[in-house]
Amino acid sequence: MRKLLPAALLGSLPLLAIACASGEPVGPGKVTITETTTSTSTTSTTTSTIPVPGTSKFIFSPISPLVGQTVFFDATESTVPPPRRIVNYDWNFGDGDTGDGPKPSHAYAAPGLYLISLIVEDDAGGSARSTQPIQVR
Amino acid sequence: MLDLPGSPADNPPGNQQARQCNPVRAGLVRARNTCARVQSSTCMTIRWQSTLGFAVAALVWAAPVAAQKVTNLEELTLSQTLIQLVGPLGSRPVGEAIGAATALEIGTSPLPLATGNFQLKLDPATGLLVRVSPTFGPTFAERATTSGEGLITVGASFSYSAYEKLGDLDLERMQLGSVTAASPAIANTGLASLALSSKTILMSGVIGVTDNLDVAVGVPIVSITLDGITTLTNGNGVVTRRAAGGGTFTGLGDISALAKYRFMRFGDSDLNDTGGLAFLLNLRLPTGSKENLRGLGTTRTLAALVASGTMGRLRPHVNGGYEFWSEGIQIPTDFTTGATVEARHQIHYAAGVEVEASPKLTLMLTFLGRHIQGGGQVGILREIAPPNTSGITALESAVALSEGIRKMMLAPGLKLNLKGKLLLSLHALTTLNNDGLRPKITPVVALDLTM
Repeated sequence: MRKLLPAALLGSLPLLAIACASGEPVGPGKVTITETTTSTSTTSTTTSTIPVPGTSKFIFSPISPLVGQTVFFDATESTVPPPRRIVNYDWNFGDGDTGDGPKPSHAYAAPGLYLISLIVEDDAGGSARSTQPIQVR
Repeated sequence: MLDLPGSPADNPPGNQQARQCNPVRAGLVRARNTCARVQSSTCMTIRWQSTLGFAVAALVWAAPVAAQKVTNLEELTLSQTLIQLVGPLGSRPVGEAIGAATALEIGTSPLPLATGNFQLKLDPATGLLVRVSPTFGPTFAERATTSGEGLITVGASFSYSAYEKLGDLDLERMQLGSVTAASPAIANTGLASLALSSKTILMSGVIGVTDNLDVAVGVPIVSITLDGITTLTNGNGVVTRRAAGGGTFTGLGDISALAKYRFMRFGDSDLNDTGGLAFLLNLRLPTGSKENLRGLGTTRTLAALVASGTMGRLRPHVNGGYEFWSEGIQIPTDFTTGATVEARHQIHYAAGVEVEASPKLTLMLTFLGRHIQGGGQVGILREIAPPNTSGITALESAVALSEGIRKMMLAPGLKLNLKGKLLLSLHALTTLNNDGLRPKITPVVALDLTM
């Protein structure tokens, strides 16, 4: 026991050394995302490696708009790691219309549940996506 | 080990390419990494073979084939890794909920930083330093006994936690959310398999400033390892999104600074400690990375009362206190409305007993409780969808709830005097309930040297 425990603690010293040596400006995390769609005509594989993504976030008001009512979207809480900056806001309002900019507005022509998506792109080629449903009455 | 959608058996006949490129879930890490490395070669070969088969089949049957987009994300923090793994599942921030639960568990787990292992006094009759307490004191709670002026104790401890549950959800096969709809193309189910563990090294030092005042510092180095796979499967059984990844995230945790002042002593003899009452102040500084879930990003101040006494050979101790957090932990629950829940402040309580098994061996059992207030529990939120043209009838998502986290643990263990004033401590922290992130039994080993 006397030999084992100091050995166990010594075995953890590399962990301590790593912790002290690295300022950890970015994380070591890696994620591979595979998105699959089906079609009757094509087969293709696209592989890309992109840098640290930012965060795509948006809110909108009113939450449950009426047909024809203007909905105001706000994506200014989207972030990218500094020193990069967001260069593009790519909106899809779910009814076939698209938009750009951090604060677009849109009116829906028919009632229903639509899925809004926002892709935020930065100047290093990174992008982040978020989606939210909206119920139009 | 697991049978998440994404394994070959789950893909329909028309999805041949996805079938070949998705590694089988068993053999989690190796299989996945292998596929990631050879994606452009192996999968390309398979695709050509499949394409040949499809060319023949297409003459008689226009079966759907798969188009894939593979995105590799690197240099992610632990928080970002969780969010990207879980991905967009409607408007509910599932990754954020899991991340907050992880940070709350790592940041509030009890540290083996108890003071007053040895209390030594000069016996005027013999002129020798003598121990005034036959036991070495609890590890995760406190007794009123202090070290004595001038005594210094340095120590190091190591603990390992492998997490198995998040609330009532199994991390190995966790439902992230689902959409129920008439159309199988719109309906989907999100599942995750997460292997999450943490190692903590705590370097500590305690000094007896006066006979009744101890001051201590604990510096935790925390390493969190995440390895996960998530899938989003539509009503046709096609895995439309599959994410795999993780990493090991190592660095400083929230540093602890502690002061304990004994203001009442039971009994009359200085050479026979029979307990007393003490006031404890414990400061947890926001030195741990919030992005990597090693810290909470808030300064926490625990004020507690400590009582200990003697009942024959038993030495009971009781602690109770309240921890103030300078800022709450905001956990988003709905991107649509911007709603959040806030976890803030914590109640601590502990009760236990030590027994002197021999002059060099103390056995102990401590019950530890803590209640994080305001929010942080993760549960499945079920919503009935309003009438809509997409045919969606119900939505389910794993989200942070506005219920606080109540943790109850048992800490059986021993302290063995190896030599001189060197103490070895062994404990097995056992979580008793399913609130927040629940580890399996956490072994803790510590060495403390008093000088």
